[in-house]
Amino acid sequence: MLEALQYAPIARALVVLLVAGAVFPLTGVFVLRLNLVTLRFTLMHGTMLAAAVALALGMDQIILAAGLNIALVALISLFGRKGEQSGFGTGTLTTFLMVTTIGAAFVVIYRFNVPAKDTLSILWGSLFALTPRDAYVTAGFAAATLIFFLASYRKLKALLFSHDVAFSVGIDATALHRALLALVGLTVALAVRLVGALLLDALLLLPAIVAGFHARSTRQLFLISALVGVLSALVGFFLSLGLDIPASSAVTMTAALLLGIGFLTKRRGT
Amino acid sequence: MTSSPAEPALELRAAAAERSGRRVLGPIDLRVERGDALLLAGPNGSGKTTLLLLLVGLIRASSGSVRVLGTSLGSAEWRRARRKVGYVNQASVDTTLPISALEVAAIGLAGAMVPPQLRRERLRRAMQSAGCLHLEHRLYRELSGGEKQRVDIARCLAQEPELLLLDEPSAALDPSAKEALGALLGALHDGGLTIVAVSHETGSLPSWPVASLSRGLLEPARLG
Repeated sequence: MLEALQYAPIARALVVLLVAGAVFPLTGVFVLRLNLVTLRFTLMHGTMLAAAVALALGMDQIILAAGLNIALVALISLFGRKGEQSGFGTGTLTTFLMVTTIGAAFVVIYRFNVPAKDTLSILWGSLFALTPRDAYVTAGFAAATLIFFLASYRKLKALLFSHDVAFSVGIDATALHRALLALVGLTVALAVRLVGALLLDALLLLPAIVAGFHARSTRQLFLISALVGVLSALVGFFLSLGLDIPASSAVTMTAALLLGIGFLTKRRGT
Repeated sequence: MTSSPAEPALELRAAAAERSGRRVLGPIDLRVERGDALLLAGPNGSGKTTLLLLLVGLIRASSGSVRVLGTSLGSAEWRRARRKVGYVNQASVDTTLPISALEVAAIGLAGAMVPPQLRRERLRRAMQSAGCLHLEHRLYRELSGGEKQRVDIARCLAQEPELLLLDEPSAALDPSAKEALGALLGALHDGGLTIVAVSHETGSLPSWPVASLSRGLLEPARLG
C-alpha cells in the first residue's frame, strides 16, 4: 500500500488531507459553537455554484469559490442585521442565499451541459486530481489559519464564551465574528475541492463534535478536534487505498466511527 | 484613560433606545456619581436590561446622550474606557463550553495587552477578592449559580474596573448564595467600586438606593 505513495498525486493527496485534517476542524469548532451551521450550508451551496461555473467556463474553482463565499459572507454581515426590523434578517437572508445558490448551480450545470462525472466531482471531491498549486494554496491557507488562531486565541476564546462579554472587555467582537465568517467561507471553499460538498463535514464538523464530548478546557477542545481530524484523514486515506473505495468516503466513515467511539466513551455531563 | 475622575460614572440625558423599531426605553435622565451604587428595579419588560445594554454600548441610544466614565458612548475615548467597565450577564453566556473558571476570569484581560507575570497576579488577586480562587481549575459549566456569579465578578475585577454593571445578579440563586453575593457586592462597593445592578427583586441585594423602571421610564430613586 505504501508503494502507492511513490506517485506524486497520491503523496500530494495524503499531505493535503493531513494538513486539512489538522486545521479545518479548528474552524469547525466555531461553526458548531457559534451556531453557524445554516451559514455553512449556504457557503457549501455557494461553493457548488462556483464549481459549476468553473466547470462550465473552464475557470479556477478555488478562486471562484473563495470569491463567491466572501461575497456571501459580506452580504449576510452587512444586510442581515439591518434587515432584522423588516423581517428579512440574518436567518432569512442566509436561508434565501442557501436556496438560490444551489438553484443557480443546477441551472448552470444544465445550461452548459456540464458532464455528469464532473458534476459528481463537486459532490465527492477530487483528492487525487489535486494540482501542486492546489496543495500550495491549501498549505498556505492552513498556515494563515493557524497564525490567525494563535494571534487571536484569547479574543476567540472570549467570543466563544459570550459575544456580549467579549465586547464589554474591549474586543471588537463584531469584526472578529466577521473575520471568522470569512474564514469559514474560505475553509468550505477549499474543503469542497478536497473531499466534496457532501463530505466536507467529515473534516469540518465531526472532529469538533468528538472534541466537545471529551474536552475539559478550550485548549483541549481545539487540540482534540485537530487530532481527530488528522486521525480521520490518515486512517481514511489508507483505508481508501487498501479497500479501493473513494478517499472522501473513507475519511468520512472513519470520522463517523470516531464520533461513535467518542460518544460512547464521553464523560458524564458533556 | 482620558476620563476625568471629577465626572460622574454614568450620565444619561434624555436618553432613549429602540428595539425592532419600537421605543423600549426613555427618554430618561440618570446620574450615578463615582463610588455610588444603584439598584435598578422593575418588572419584566420594563427596560432594565435595555438600559444596561445601552450603558455597556451593545446598543446605541436613538436619541439623547449617554456618558460612561466621562466619555461619550461610541467615541474613541469610550472604546478605551469601556475596558474599565465590568459587565456580568449570565444570560448571554455559552454555558456548555468546556472552559475553566480561571479561563473565564482571564477573559477580563483578553482585550488588553498585559505582561504574563502581571496577568497571573491580577487574575489571582481578582479570584481571591471574589472568593473563587479555589474554583480555578473547575469547569465553569459545572459550577453552581452562585459560584458562576463569583467567577464572573472575578472576570470583571481582573479588568480593574471603575464601574461594575450587573444584570439580574441574584436570579436563580438559592437564599444562602444570594446572601453571599450581597455581602461580596457590599464589600466591593465599600472598597470604592461604583456598582449598578439591574434586578426584578432587590431584597437580597445590599441596601442601596433603588430606581424603578416602568414601561421604559425611570421613577425617582429611593433608599433601598
